Amino acid sequence: MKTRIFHIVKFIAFSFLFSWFSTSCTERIDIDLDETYTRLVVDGQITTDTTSHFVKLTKTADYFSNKPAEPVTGASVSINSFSLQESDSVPGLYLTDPNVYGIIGETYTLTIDNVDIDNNGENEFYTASSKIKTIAEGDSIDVVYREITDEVQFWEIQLYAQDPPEDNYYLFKVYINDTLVTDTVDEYVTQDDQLFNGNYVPGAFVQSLSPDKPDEVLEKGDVVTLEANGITQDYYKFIIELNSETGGSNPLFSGPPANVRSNIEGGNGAVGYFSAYSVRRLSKTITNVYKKP
Amino acid sequence: MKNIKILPWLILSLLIFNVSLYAEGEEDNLVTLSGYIKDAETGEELIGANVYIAGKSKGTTTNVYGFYSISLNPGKYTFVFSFVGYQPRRQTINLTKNKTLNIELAPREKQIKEIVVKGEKPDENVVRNQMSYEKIKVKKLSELPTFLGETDIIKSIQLLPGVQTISEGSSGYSVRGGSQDQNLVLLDEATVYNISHFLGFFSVFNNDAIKNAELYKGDIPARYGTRLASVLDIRMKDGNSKKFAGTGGIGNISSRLTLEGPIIKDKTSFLVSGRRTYFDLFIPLIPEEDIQGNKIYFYDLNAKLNHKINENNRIYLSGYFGQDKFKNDFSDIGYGNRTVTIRWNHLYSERLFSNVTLVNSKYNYSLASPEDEAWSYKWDSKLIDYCGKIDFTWYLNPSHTVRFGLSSCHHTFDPGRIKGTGEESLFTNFKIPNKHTLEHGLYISNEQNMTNQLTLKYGLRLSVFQNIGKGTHYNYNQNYNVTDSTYYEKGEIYNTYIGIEPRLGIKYQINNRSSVKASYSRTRQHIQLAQNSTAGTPLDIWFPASPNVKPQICDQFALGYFRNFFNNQLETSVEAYYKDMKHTIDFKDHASLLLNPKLEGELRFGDSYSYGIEFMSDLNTNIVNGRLSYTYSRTKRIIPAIQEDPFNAPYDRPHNISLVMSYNFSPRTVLSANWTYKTGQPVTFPTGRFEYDGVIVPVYSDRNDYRLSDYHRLDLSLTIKSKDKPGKKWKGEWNFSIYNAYARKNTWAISFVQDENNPDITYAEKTYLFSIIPSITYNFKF
Repeated sequence: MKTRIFHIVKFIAFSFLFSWFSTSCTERIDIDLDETYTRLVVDGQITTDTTSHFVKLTKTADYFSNKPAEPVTGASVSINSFSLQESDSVPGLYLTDPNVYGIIGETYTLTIDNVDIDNNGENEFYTASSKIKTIAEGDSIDVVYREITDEVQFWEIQLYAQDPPEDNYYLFKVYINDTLVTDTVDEYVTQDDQLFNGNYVPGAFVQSLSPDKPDEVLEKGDVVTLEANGITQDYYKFIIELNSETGGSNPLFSGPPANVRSNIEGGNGAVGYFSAYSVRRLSKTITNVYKKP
Repeated sequence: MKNIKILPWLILSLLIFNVSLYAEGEEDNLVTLSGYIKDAETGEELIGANVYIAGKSKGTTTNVYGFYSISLNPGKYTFVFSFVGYQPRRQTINLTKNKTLNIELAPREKQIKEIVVKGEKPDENVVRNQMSYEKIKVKKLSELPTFLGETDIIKSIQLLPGVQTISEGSSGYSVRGGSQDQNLVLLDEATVYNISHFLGFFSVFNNDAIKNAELYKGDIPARYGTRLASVLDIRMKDGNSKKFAGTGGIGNISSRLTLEGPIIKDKTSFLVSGRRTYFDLFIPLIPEEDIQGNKIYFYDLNAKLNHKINENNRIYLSGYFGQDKFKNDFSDIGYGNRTVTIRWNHLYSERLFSNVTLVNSKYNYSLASPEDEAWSYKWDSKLIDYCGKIDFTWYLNPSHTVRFGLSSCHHTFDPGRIKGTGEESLFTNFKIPNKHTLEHGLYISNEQNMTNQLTLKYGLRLSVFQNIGKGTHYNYNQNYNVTDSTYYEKGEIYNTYIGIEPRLGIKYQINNRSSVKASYSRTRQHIQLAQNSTAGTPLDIWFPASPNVKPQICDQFALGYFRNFFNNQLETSVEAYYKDMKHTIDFKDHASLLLNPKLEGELRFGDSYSYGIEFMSDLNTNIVNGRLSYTYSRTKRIIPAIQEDPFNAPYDRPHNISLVMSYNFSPRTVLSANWTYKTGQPVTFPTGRFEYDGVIVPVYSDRNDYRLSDYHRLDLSLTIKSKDKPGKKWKGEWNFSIYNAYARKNTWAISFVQDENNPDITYAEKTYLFSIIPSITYNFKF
């Protein structure tokens, strides 16, 4: 709950500040920024699902370059003994065979070879490791509709599960009828178990769907699936730092901006993350769309 | 710095030599004139009033309780008693034995078209044995432009040379490169931990109840300790001991009322001063249902009772109670201060004045969510102090004034406890363990007039800090991870830090219009704010030194030239300073400070330094008052764990110009303006970007390598006073202010945002808080 509280606190402060001082305003401005050297960007993962796992390789760019990221092609990419092939349709996207799955408790190491990001003619070699953590089975989920005010209303997804006794870190995502609707990292919910470690969790608010987003509107008969990922502490901190650096800053609550961590080593320094995590899903078919809490 | 180590021994030997030489002061053939100087209309003791001998350079000033003592060879002298804003009084006395003389001074009426009455001695700028000092003109504050109708002493401090603000609207300030938590703020001897209301936009001080306020930016006297950078010593009025009176006002945001009066004339008096916002009283009238249950208010209440037991004993009882509350459907945030103080002044003899203070203070805040859900919670945190101190001033003889004293404080830090408030809460009650500490101080100092021109001040302060159980201490390894922990029982002392703080000041009076002053002071600090945000919030917590966190230390050197012109109507000074600070505390990237029992693992240590030059000119005539100051200053931090190269501290704003002017263009109207200009504050900006899982992530420059745009703003005000009719008790005045008169959109924050419609595009957005804000205040006195 620590993160949730922090987010709520930030949200309250934002809303108070910006509603009570109505003379404050925001406007777009032009700023000149310096440039920095190009680095490799890694966005990759392996999970316990049986599927094609991906590693996406791109390059960093100047802050106002305002173009899609440049892909890194022709690299040699492997995860443990599985080698990844570059996709024909999407340059820079490397995929395993579709029958690969990760095992809980195993450590997976990503290696990237045959790249030369700084174009100096020398080969660069990058590596990263992550271990797949355990995750609880979970009992069930429930979906209720909450009306806080006229403007603030949402579907609350509640989880019923027993939290295991060790330190666990979770990521929660939501699917509607098998389509992932929380599809960008800022829509994931991170959670540690510090405040309820080892307890039975009776309907904790873990994710939400907003009636303001067309892809999140629920209708009768929809199947809502909550996906929980058992992640490492380092990946958990990565996601929090990522959201903190992409979520907008406020002099009242933000510390000075700082670079997001990375677990990629080697070469000229890379950014991004290679994660390995376990997956559990719980589903519910919606019969009462506006069920009261 | 090797020379610095010799200094305490040098000072100690000077003290021992001089004090023992004159210790038989009672048997020398000097006679003492002593007493209290008060305002003839209200009976308020005057702080810093002058007592001097006509035609000679000998003199003294009243202390913070209005007491003076001057010892001379027996003889006939003409004494002049004076204070700025009052008619001076002369009295010729044939002084053959010790004499008590209490004086009442009458306020001087403002007279237009006349220059300052001669016979005064307003040359304090030059003559005062103190540098790096500002005396705030408390009475003039209500004539200056206000922010949302509130006269605010902190906002006027933010306009002084050497003082920087961090972010617009915030009540925090930085003095000579120090951080916000390095300022000691005292209200009648009690430490104030949180000086702001409403997230920093207003301070907790009700100007109507303040008698005196002084700021020490350096050359800090030995009697003050516990904070590194500055001391703001605020004294409240004691309460009119002659007649019942009141002051008050109504502003855009809040209303104030102060009532004071005698219970027994000239012996016992009281003062009650309150202020409250009233916006929330209109909430039930607003039709929108969502706002109905909202509460948003703050209040301050100061209450004082003083009693003069006899000529040698006075006792004061005071309390301060303040609270902020924000409540809406999501949350219930509250925070407040409560302080209760008892003081006893005792005169052991005409030359030995003492004061004993006992204080209990509590600063707390809480945050709660709506109840009855599985995820409802309440989180609260507090800081509780019990302190006692004794201060002596020994007016040995005209050349030596010795001060010594002792203080001791017990602090309890309760950094946070969170509990579920729902019926079926999923929370385990979570509490960060309390910490307890003891902080002691012992000091002795002497102010010695060596010759007519040279004055030397020297003092030593011994500060002791202890961590005491019950408490849990965590040990960390090289990677800042906890390796083990130790639990200490109640009362067990598990760490002690002892340090010496030498204080040294020299003044050389060139002539009666100019002087040169130099000073060195070392300060130590054991308690700091875990505050990582630029502006600071009330949810920041104070945390103490420990075996893992060493005391912060600062050495400050300052040199200044002081010159007055036009019969002291124009005071000018230029001061240069250099500060070297050790064990500076900063926070790691993405530090997690809220509800973290392992907070010490988020800290990173290093050094910092700052230097600057301050130019000040202050004009005081009956018609025009003004002050123009310019400061150039730099502050840097060197924290290897954050980055290799030194980086700009958050308060590093090289150029700072401020102009404050008041023009009395008729006996009843005052036109005021202030204009302030500051270099933009340092910020960290992105220099690159990458994509990860659908979002654009910035890659940043070195910390604080960029700056926001420069800040400048003009405020104007017009004060109109009601006609003074004879026999009419009620006096009113209207103040019309305009904040940010030319509506400059000063940047408050810059964010970098991903375009909603085109995810590849990022752009920069500037948020500014205030455009032009007019306000009206009505002030009254009866």
